[in-house]
Amino acid sequence: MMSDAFIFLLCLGAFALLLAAMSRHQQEWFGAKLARPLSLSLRAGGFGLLFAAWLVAGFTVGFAYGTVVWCGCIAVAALVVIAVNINRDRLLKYLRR
Amino acid sequence: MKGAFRQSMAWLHTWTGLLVGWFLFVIFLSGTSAYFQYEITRWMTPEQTVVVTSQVAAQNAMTWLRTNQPEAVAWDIYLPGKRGGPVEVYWTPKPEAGKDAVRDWEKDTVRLDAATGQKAAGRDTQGGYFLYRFHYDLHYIPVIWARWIVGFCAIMMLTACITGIVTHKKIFADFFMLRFGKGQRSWLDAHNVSAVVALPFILMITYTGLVTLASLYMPWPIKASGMTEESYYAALYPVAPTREPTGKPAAFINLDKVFETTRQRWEGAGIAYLSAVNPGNAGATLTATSAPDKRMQTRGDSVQFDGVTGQILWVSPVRGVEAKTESVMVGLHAGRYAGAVLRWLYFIGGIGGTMMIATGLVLWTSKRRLKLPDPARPHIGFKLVEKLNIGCIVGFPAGIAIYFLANRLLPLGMTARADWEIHSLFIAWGAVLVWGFARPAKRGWVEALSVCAGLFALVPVVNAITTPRGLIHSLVSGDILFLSFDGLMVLTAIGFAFAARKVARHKPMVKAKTKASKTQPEPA
Repeated sequence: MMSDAFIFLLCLGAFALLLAAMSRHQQEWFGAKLARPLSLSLRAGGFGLLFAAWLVAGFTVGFAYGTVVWCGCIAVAALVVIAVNINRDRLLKYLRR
Repeated sequence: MKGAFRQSMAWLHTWTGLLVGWFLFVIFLSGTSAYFQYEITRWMTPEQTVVVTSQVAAQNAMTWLRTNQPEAVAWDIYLPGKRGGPVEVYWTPKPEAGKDAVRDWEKDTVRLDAATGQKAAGRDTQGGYFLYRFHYDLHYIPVIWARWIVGFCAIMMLTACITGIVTHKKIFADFFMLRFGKGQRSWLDAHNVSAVVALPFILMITYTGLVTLASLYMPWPIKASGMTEESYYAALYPVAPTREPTGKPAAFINLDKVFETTRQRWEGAGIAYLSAVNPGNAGATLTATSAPDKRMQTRGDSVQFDGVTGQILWVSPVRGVEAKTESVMVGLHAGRYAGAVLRWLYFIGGIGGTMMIATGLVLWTSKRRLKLPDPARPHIGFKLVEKLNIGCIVGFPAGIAIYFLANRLLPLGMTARADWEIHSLFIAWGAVLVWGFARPAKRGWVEALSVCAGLFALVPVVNAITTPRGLIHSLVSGDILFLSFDGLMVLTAIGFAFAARKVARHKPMVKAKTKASKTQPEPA
């Protein structure tokens, strides 16, 4: 259970980085496009975290079972990031208050 | 060339998806519910409150058989797993002199309460098992036809998936995009997001689904390798050898020893199935088959014991790599090995797939509505798709809600009660289908969605009125299963109510005349 939560959090971080690496979303979230090297690093970080999550899954519950858990976790983590992205304006307004 | 390729893929994606979309929706939704098959059955048999280990269940079943069927020449016991459920026992009555022993599978069986070892009290129901079987055996038609129909749909699904990846070229660029209130664009976003997020699950489930029935769909390799169907199945699923009775009575072995031995051999896996031949005789044997609760492979291993001494007489041979691969694929599809967290992830994947199909079907109409000469008076083909969409996307879930309600409301002593629970599902589904055809499209959607929301909201209410295991009781006693089930019903009701409100407030977009022609059209 604890390892599932950790794998999920890693995936969540990964998708947050992947979102931040896309210029369209940079404009929306930060008000400006980030420099290309920074974007590339964010993307690399995102994929790196996804890989790390897979390793954690493999070493904690075995690579067969872990890979299936990882596939499930990336789906749910992506959904959470999409949900946050949809509610961006509401969230930013709340944060600025 | 590139454009032509993508366009032909788009065409294939659209029409394979549409042709079998309604079937796929129903198969996906019922299949998704099957991940909680045992939990649904437990909710549908509220009289059975205690979950015991399969070892206790087996002892209880054995005691019942010893008392009630001591003369039988064979006993078979299907045990519940860790997630509970009843025990199914079967027996073969002692034949008359000179005749062969024959089992009537309908008559020579009883369902026992695993905890008490007595005939299961309370309501007659098929529970979650019906929804599980329905997702590949359908209902009211011969099983073999159903499996061919489902197989055809699965092939179409696989085609639609692969062509979809080619066609919806922006699925990764638009990975995080979900824009509401933009008509066709929103449906395309929703279709893409549900598809891309659940993509690993969708591809896996469709492919492995075909593998589960591969020898039905592709029997030719069996013939090509010079085997008959009998010899093929005998090699794939080896059966323990039989032993003649000796004529001397002898006490049957203690099951504790069998459980201990198998647990050690199978690295902690439980027993799913016990088969006793000539019980009570000195020549008795007992074969135990493993449960798929410890590893991905779904096909069990078997060990045959001497029914008196407990000595191991036979073990099933180690599988070849092909059989192992098939066993893992089927295991991956059914997810019986999954723990609670992974089971929920499977469920979410299934809902994602179901949403992808539903949004794809709606997208077909949404995309074409603007191009109709008169959107208020669509042609018959468009109308048919629209009405079938209402009838299936809302009708089948409404049927499931009625299935649960019928479980609580039909009289307990009613003849063929379990059958009538199932008939109720189809009657409700049929009613929504007819309603959808009878009403103008928008009103049809709003009314059907509202009714469906109401039906799901009623499930926990009716449960609280008709059983002592209502929401408050579940909260106080910490009954997680009933809490989750009732909670999920409320969530589903909210989902349908939200959809009804959205459709009711929807204002059709004005026909766009410019822009659209400049960009390459996205497929529906």
